[in-house]
Amino acid sequence: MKKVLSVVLALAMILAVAAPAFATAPAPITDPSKLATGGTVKVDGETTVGTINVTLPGATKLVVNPYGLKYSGTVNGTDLTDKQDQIIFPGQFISSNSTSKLAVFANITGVAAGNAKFATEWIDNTSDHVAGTKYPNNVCLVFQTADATKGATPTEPNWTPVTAVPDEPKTDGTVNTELLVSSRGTTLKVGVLAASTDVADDAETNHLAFRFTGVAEQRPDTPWTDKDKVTASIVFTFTPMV
Amino acid sequence: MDQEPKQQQRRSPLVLVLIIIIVALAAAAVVLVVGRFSEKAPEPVQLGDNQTPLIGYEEGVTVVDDPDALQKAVDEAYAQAAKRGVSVEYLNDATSSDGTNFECYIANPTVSDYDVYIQIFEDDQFTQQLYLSKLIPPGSAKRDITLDKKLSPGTHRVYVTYTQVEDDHATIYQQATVTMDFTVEMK
Repeated sequence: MKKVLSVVLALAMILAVAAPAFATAPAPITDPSKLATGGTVKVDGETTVGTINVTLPGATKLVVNPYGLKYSGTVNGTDLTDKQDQIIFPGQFISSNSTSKLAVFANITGVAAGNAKFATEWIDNTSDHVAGTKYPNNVCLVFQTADATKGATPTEPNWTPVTAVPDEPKTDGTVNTELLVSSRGTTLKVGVLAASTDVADDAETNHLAFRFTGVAEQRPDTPWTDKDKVTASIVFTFTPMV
Repeated sequence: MDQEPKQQQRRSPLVLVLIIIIVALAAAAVVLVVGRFSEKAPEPVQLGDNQTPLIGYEEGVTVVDDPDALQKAVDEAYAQAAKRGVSVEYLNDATSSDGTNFECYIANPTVSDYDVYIQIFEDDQFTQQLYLSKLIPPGSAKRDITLDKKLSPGTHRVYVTYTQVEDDHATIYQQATVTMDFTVEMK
């Protein structure tokens, strides 16, 4: 009796597994001409990479304050009273509501006008000038990125002060990239934007913050004028990541 | 006896010319000296206690030594930064079988508040324009475009500029640029 029962149970299991296979089996080809022609089967393939859906800052003003004059004001809750930064650039954000995780690349090209020049080394405004040495209207301009907290409205991160020229793109826990701006266009990876878990929810927007910072020659041989300007153009590339 | 008056007659035009030159030089010198003294001495820059710079200013410096101008520039920079950015929506890759007509997806997202026009450039200096669209309202997309120039087989990195325009359709609000890869399939 036990043997009969075990055989019945075994058969029942085999049928249960086999049943779906029978149900999805293709109909046999009965037309010989289809077999004879052979040929290729066209398979419509589609790779879903996700639409890139990002918001980028438009043109933003970069102010050079070589003499370190004081400026003040309260903007977006940020107290700017008595600041004396030589490079003034409000933090900006690249915001993503994409379904894909995105690698962010930036091509940064600086343009210097008038007597202004891009410095290749850090400028120490505290040391005395050395007789016989030329002091051009140098601006040491550094592009810096940092992760910003996810949310509907981004908040500016606590920026790591830049105190030296980055030899190569710098990466640490808070800073994604530091790059010395020059008139040569430089392209590099500046950060990663996480995938949005709900593209319809603004609170799920991911942000990458960037800014320009640096120093300018405070006592150049030729005094600064309003004709001396530096600008930078940025072109972004977003690459979906798996 | 007759030779002296003749010599005097010969010298007199030369003396006259010399006198004229001397008078002219003297007049020029007087004009220069008087002009220099009559120039107004430069006004000293008046700054408040909180605005005293660390070093003195040279003449000719205009904007950067003016705290008011600096404050105005800072205010403008922060006001500009507070603007909502340019929202872009696109697929990175566009394909073509003939090098001119491309299947793509370049959209002005629904969240955008402005119409945009699209420019596509072959180079990062934005000198070789491949395409210029008409205005694209929010919530609309270009799914196929025809370039002004035929691209060769292979993949080309192109520079796509989104330009937002004001309601008057004449004033640019702001711009942003991203890259895309345009691929012409090999035959």
